[in-house]
Amino acid sequence: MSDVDGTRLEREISEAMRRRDPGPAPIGLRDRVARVPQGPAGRGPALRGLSRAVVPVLGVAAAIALLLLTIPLFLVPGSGPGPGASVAPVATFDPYLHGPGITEAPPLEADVVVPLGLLLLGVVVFAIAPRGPRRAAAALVVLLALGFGGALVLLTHANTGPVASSGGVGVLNPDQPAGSPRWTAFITAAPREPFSFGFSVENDGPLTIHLDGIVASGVPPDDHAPTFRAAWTGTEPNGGIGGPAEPFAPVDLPPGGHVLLWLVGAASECAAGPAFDPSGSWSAVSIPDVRVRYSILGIPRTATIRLPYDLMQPYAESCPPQP
Amino acid sequence: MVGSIVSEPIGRDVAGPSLRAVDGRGDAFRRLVDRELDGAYRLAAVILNDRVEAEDAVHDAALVAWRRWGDLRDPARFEAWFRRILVNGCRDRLRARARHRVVDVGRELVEAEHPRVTDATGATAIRDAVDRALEGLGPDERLIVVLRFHADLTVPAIAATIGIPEGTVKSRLHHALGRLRAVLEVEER
Repeated sequence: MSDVDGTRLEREISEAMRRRDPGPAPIGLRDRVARVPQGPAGRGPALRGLSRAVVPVLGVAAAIALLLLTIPLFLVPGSGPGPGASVAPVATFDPYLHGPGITEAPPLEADVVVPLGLLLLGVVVFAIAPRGPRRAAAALVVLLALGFGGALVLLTHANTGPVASSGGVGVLNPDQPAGSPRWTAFITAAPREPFSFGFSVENDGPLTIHLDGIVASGVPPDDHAPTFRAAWTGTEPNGGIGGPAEPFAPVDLPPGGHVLLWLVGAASECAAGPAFDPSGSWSAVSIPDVRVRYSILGIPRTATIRLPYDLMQPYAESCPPQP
Repeated sequence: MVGSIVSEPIGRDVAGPSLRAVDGRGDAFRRLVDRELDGAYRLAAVILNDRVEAEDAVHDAALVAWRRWGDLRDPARFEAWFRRILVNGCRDRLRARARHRVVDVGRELVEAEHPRVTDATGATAIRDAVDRALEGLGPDERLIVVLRFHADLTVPAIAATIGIPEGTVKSRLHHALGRLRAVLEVEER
């Protein structure tokens, strides 16, 4: 077997290169290249610099947002007591004031923000990742993240969340209008005075949920619509105003678990009040459902649950007085 | 002070200055590309081993360079910048070629009908073997060999051109030379 030394090898390779070398560029190519600047010019350094500055910032912002949204996924879902567990009574709890258990609905749900964040992150990664294996690796990571996020969202949506299964009323006049399949409960509290009603929240999904509270109101606040002030928990059938002062605390609901809530509200400025007569002509604000905040696998969500009765607050049509 | 309305003549050459600015950039671009054109074409031809495809590669590189013209802050670095664009384009072409491998049936038929006469020293066979071995290298290995032995670039310059670490350049060059050496040794037996 012959031994090819390095010099000989380099000489053979260099000769092969020379054989391939075609010499100067042909005229046709020179003409084609000379016409290139007639096309659209590239962006100026300022714009390129701006995009170079903005894209990494966007990437970092997307990564931070994603991190903040996904950190709760790795926490133990729910830290509140389980159903039936007693919560220490708070002596100063005043159900007539704004109390615990009433929350504001976020403008965007996490199950919308997470996929959007992942998508943004994917676009940014593709924009800044160099070509070749690193871009392929980035693509793989983004695909895995999208798959993970998608599976998570599907899983949380598969869990139908809380539902109202039974209910009762506190300071209300229940009635069932002729021909109506559902009970109608009228809020007859005087303007700005409290009322309460109860309903059960049940977890009919396969995963434990963490009930965080009730969304402030299903209807925009105005002179006609009542407002929610506080939520109570407990199984006292006549809870609410006269029941045990057990303020709402976030609670874990395992699959099949339920919790009875008493919601305290205040009648609106224009409420018809105790003098309301359902047999006459009336106008009312309807509250057919209540929105609850809960989290599943650490992802906060809002669910609309149908009340077991149609809750209505009649109001005086002459209110507020027109100038 | 009495106010007055100043009217502009219709058809004024309002686009003149910006057009002249574009033309200035175009002229500068043409000058720089023209200076590098022969070297770029030869490099692409050696990498691709196809003169027609090399012309397309150089033209495409010029288009990309013009689109990214704003990126080039120092015209003195045009040569390396343009070479990087060209080499990346050639690598894409080699990869695409690997995905859609073309079998040159015509050459096989010609060789079957008109077998080559082996020369006394075996030089032709060795040349063919080296050419085949170069063709058999992977895109990155082939780029590194060409940049090293045709463009006469150093390892750091090759690494900067291809965008990979110097250690990777060395290992791939070592591997490629090993394969070429093995081919030579087989032919010389």
